[in-house]
Parts: sequence; C-alpha cells; structure tokens
Amino acid sequence: MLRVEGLYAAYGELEVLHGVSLTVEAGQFVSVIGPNGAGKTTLLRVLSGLHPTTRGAVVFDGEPITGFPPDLICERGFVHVPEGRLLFPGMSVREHLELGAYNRRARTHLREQMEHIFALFPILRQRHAQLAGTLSGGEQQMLAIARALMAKPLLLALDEPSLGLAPRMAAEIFAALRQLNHEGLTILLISQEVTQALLMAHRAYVLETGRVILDGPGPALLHNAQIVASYLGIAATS
Amino acid sequence: MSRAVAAGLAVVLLIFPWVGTGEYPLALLYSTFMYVALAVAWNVIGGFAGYLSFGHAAFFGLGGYTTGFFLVRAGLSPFLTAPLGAAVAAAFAALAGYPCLRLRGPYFAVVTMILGLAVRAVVLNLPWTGAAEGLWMTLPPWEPIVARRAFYYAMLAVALVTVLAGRAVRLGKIGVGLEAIREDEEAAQSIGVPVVRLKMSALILSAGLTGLAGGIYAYDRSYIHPDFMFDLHLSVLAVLMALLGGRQSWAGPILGAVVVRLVDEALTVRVGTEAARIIFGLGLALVIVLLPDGVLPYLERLRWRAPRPPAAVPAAQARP
Repeated sequence: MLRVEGLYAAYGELEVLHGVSLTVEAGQFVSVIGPNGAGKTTLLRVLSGLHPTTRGAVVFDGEPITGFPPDLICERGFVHVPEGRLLFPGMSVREHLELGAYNRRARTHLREQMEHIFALFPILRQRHAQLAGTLSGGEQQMLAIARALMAKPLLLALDEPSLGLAPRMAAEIFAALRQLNHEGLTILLISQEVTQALLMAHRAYVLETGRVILDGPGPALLHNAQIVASYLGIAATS
Repeated sequence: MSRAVAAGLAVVLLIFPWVGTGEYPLALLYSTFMYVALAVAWNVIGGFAGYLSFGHAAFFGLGGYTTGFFLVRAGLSPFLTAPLGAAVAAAFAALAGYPCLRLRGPYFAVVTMILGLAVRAVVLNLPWTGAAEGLWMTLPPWEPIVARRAFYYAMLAVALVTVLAGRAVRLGKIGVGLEAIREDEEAAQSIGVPVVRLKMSALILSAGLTGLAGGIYAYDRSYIHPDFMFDLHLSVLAVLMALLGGRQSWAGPILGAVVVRLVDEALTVRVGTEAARIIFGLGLALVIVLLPDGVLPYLERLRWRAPRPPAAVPAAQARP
C-alpha cells in the first residue's frame, strides 16, 4: 500500500529526516513511535505533500507520489489527520464533514459516508449543527478523524490523535481506530502513547533523530529491552 | 420573498432612467453600482479567502487602460472591449498572483499594495499609455442625458454580473473551499482542498471583475490618468466597503458599498469634502471596532434573535 524509500527532508539547512524507509501493507495497522524531535510529524507532512522532500521516493497504491501536491495525494487516498487537529473553529460539524469530501471521488459517496461516520461517532450526529470551536477536546479529535474519513481514504495517517486528551477519551479514539482497521482501513499512526500504539500495531517503527533504528511486529517491540528502557520506563509512570 | 424583492429592485433599477430622472441621480447610482462591483469583486479574494489585497487599483486601472488603448488605437467602443480589459486584468493577476499568494496576512497586504503602486509607476512612464499626460478618448456624440443612461446601464450590468459571480462562488463548492482556506489554510491543505488552485481562481476572477468596472469607468471619464486609475484610495475603499458590509457573505459588500457611497455623497454635499473625509473615516473606524464581522451579520443576528424564545436554543450550545 505504502512504500517509503530513503526519504530525506529538511527545514532550510537543517536536515531532519536522514533516509527513512518503511512499508505499510494493505489492511495493516502500522505505528511509528519515537521521542520528540525525531521527525515523526515531518515524516507524515512529507508523505502527505505538505512538506517538500529533498531525496527519496514514496510509492502509494502502486504509484510514485513523491513531490505531488497535497490535494492530489489526498484524492488518491492517503489522508492525513494533522497534529493539533486543525479544525475550522467557525464551521459546524456538518460543514467539516462536507469539506472532508472535497475531492471528486469522495463527493459521490458523501451521504453514505456521513452515515457511516455518525455510526462510528454517534456524538457527532448529536452535535452536527454545532461549531467546531465549541466541542470538547475529544469531540474535536473525533471530528478531525471523521473529516479525514469523509475523503474515503485507502490509508489513514494520524499524528498524535490522543495528544492532550483525557485517558478515557484517548481510549475511545484508539478503539475507533481499531474498529476502522478491522473494517479493512489501513492505518499509519504516530503516537507517544507507546504501549497503546505498539499493542495495536501489526508492524511498528521506532524513529530517532530522523532514522529508523528499530522495527518489527508491535507487540514484540513491547518486550524489546531497548524500548522498555527508553520509553516504557517513562510511559509507565506518567 | 427575497426573490420577489430582488425582482422588484431589478424592475425599479431598469425603468429608473426613464421616469424623468435627471443626470445627477443617474450619475450617483452609476457610481454606486461601480462601488458595489468593486466591493463584491474584491471580496471574492479578500473576504471569502481572507487574503486582504490592497492593490486592486492595479486591476481597475489595467481594465481602464486596456479599453482606452483599444479605443484610441483601434477605434473600438469600450462598451465592447471592456471584457478585454477584464481579461488583461485577470491575466496580470494570474502572473502576479502566484508569487503573491504564497504570502499570508499582512505580508500579502503589503506586497499587493506595493504591486498596485508599481503598476501605476510603470504606466506613468510608458509612452504608449500616454504616460504622465494621460490618455484622451472621444465619447460618442450623445446628448448628456443619453450618455448618462448608457453608462448607467453599462455599470448596472457590470455590478449585476459581479454580484451573480460572487454569489455563485460563495454558495458553491469553491466558496466552501475558500472558507476553509480563510479559517486555516494548513488544515484545508491537509484535507485535500486544492488551495493554490482555489486562491488563484479567486484572485483571477476578482481581478477580472474589477478590470471590467475599470473599463466602463475609464470610458465615462473619457480622459484617464494613472493618478486616478491606479489610485491607492480606490484599493483601500474596496477593502473598507467589504469590511463594513461583512466579508463572509456575498451580500455584505453590496450593503457596504451602498452605505459608503451614499454617506460619502451626502457628507460631501452637506459639509464639504475635507470634513466629510474625517467624519467618514471616524465612522468606519467605529464600525470596524464595534462590529468586526461587518454590519450585515449583525443585522441578520438581530433578525434571528427577535422572534425566538430562549427555550428554542439547543441546550448543546450552552456548553463552554
């Protein structure tokens, strides 16, 4: 579904990705974990065309998409839920969902996709006329995911969807992602909730200072001594 | 209801020049139509997309100079060549817009303002545009009242085309995309809104409509000079009218333009130009401070609030 080969990216002179390679098979749940500043967000921004790549190749659904503008990448089915949700505070929930289906491919399935999303997040149906700025943090995250789902993704990429949420809300978000994956949606998750991210992952990648230093089946990494030492010691106490 | 009002207004405006109306009311309405066209056209990029251009005089002047040029060199009537002026203004927007639209907020505002001044400086120094002497056009040999009627209808048509275009953009899919860009361009981009294409389309359409108005205006003045065809005041006025009426809707700038034009005229006639400018500026500043979304949304809120009992407000809206 997604093959990334030797990806480099920089902010001005400062290179933050030094040849990242990873593979996501269709139907898989893949997590990318790593400390702050490892380049996780940059990686997603490069993949979805929001940030330019200096070298390397991205192949999505059998075709190279390196250097494509974000709207084309989105239309092909790689849909990105950005960090910090990035909602439109002055627009209603329904307007967000309609906007999510901006591309032509998604537009034709607008009604049924909206029903599907309301089934997944019933709270959004209740709040459909409400302005996004008035939603709670968890509801906003649901809306950000719902808006992305409206684009009919083949692969849904999420950047820290549980950031700043109450634990119960975070659990709800992860449950929804698991359900989407069971329904066949390919998921690429970036998260600092290491335990959750690894437990759910068919495959996980550990990114440190712009390089993949470790990868393998998620639950297996959970028992990796290096991971336990670097991440879980902290994660367990927080 | 609103359809009936629009139809009634259209009939009144169409027969207005034939009910014994003198030249002054026709000239006043003519300039009001022009302000409406300028404000609504500006709003397509400035309001819907939130890119505050302070350089729309460049498009206005290009439209005017293009039609003037064709009249002087080829003898073609600007009533016919005004669309060509629109095309030149739009083409210029397509060229200049791409680099400009990479900037946001105040940077975009400043760069467009400089662009407007730069185009003025260029035209002022090109020999084939008449340079600092300006360009003289010959008007058709009409009675003054006939000419006023002709320009009245021409500018009414421009305003109508502009309003219909602005409305279609706002209510269509492009309008939703532009609204997303205005609210958060990064977010719009990440969900697949083709932001570059939409911003460019909005600017090109806005410039073209502005150039169209410039073409008719240039012919009416019959003498054009960079000082008033590329006047910074015009750029600022377009911004103010849209801000005053309300930038989010397609109808807001119409209201803003009519109010600005009529108040400006009344003050100029009653208290003189200098004092009028001061009073006018203060009034605008007050409105912008007190009603940052413009007058129209405020009026709409009043209308909605009045007949509704408080119980009808959904409980969900009370959430913090």
